[in-house]
Amino acid sequence: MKAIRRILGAASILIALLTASCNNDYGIFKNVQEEKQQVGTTVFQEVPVMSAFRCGGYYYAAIATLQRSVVGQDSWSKVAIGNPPSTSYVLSSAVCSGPTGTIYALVQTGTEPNITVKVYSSTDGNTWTALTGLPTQTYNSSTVNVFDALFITSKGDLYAENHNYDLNPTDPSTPGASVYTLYYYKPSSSSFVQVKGGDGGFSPSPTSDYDKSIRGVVSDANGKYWFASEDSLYGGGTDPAGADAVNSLSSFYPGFASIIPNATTIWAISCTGGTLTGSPGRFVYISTKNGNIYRNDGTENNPTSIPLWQVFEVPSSTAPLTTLIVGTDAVGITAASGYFEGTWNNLSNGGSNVSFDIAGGEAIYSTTVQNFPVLSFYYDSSGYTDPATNLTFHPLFVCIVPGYSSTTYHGLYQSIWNGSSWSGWSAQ
Amino acid sequence: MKPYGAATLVLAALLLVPVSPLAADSPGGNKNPSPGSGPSAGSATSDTNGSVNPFLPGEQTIGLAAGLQIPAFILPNEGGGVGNLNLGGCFSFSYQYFIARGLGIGGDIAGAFNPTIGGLWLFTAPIGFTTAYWWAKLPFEFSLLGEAGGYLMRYNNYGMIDPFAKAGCGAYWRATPSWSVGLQASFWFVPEIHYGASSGLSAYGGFVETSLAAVYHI
Repeated sequence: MKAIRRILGAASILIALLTASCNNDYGIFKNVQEEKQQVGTTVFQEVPVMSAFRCGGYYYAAIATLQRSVVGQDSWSKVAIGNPPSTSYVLSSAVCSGPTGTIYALVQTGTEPNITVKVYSSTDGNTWTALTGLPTQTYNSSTVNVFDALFITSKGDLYAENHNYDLNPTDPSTPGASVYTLYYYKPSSSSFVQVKGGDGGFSPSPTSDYDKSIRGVVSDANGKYWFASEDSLYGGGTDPAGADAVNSLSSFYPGFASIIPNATTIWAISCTGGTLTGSPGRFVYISTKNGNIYRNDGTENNPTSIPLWQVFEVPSSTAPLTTLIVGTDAVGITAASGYFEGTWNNLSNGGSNVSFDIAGGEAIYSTTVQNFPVLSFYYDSSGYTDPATNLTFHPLFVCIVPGYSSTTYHGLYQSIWNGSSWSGWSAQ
Repeated sequence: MKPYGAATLVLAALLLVPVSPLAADSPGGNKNPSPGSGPSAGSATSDTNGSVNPFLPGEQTIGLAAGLQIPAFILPNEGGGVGNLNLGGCFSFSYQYFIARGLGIGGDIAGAFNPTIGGLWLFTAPIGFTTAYWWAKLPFEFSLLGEAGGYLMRYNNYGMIDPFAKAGCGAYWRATPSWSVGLQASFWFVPEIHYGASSGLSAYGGFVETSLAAVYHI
């Protein structure tokens, strides 16, 4: 009997713990029935996807390789890159200058210590040309000095991040201090030039922390360029290769100069409009590691305390006819990943403040994106027309880190806007 | 209903067939075993045809079971319906005390989990008061039971607590004087009741449990 009492006592404690929350406003059986089986390709199954975009008649998705799918179709295939094209490469980054523009791919070939890093461009995804004018790349047993990321503005300006650090021969997992430098690709001279500002250069302080890298470049509706690293914000000028000095920060956000010295907080820079809607960017946003968002109209938001990525704008069926979505970068934080959505003054990650229109229902959000960090969004403002219905469809892609807990999770999901509603997330 | 759900119901029906409870107390059986003889080998061997009901007042049983949890229905049926729940597992721990020949009362605590098609889990943990009737055609024993209580349900970090009811049966083989092993089947009625402005979320679930069980006779 003593054993029985012990077991019953333990069971009571377990039940007490489990009953910590009882949610009268959440229908469990209702949500179970609203779930949809996500059947995507094995290419993106449990695989993080860095970015997705449209270039010409294809959608592209960047993983360790570049994948593409014919616009309007579901099957994906690996893209051969190089001159001559080859499928033996590791993709570091890929961007496109616009829906009908040029695609740029930063790829590594070879094996250590003889790794070659090149940036290729292509207008059709089939024929590639190596961009010239890159500074010398070094990748050996003691020093790494390579390009490791590409950025592109809504105007099609291409930038490449150079990462320089010393390897620790006895412990490669703890490399020496990193130095990041930003280069602008100057089409007129077919060369990369270092972005420089009033204080001598846009080069974040040397640090041993990988996170203190360059976070992005945007051009706003006035043609001004803004450059962000984790601990610096430069900009305000119209020269794509000339970041203005920090004293121009007040033109971005009143009082921002007093915020930034806190440093190490910038997580992303973004511009609504631009590549999302084909229109000039309306606002520039700075998202921070501690969950704040600053907008260049002098307003700010604090929807969370976890790191936030870029702010995107997509259509909505309800006023104000646009929805802001902000991905979270919360690796290791399980409480609230996925993305925030809503209006500027009412951003929320799930709950009664969210319509779940984009996701297609709360149950689908729960079983696709909710529990994972979001790396990027892409909205195809051009879309494609279905000849059968004459409807135009605009896919929104979300690229996430799906983890490895279940094969039902994919790194790439798509929700399609048909002009009046969203289809809901479905695995690619 | 899924095919394996129908199969389980057939299995449950078969468990009821072998012997009716009335037959257990048929004329000729030893209706008055000596005090303390219990349901053990003593009573079993004292009766040559083995049909006496050996479960006497004051005796106790502890049961352990584990098996399959089969989703049967969700009402109202919306979206993907009960097909969105996959075959799951269950386990239970029960205690019964006999207050009359063959009639036991007690408690049961159980847990069941079903994966969903989206990769989540539905976890149901009922606890309830049990009334059961036992009879035997030794070395086989049979039971019919009803249970009422409450349950805790967890899904996607949300939870509910509501009333619960269960009805089922079991067939066991008295392997040793103290242990019986066998099969159990029961139907779980799981109402999810919401109140006030959320009353429209109310729904009703049904599950069929089939499990292997071990019963210890104290």
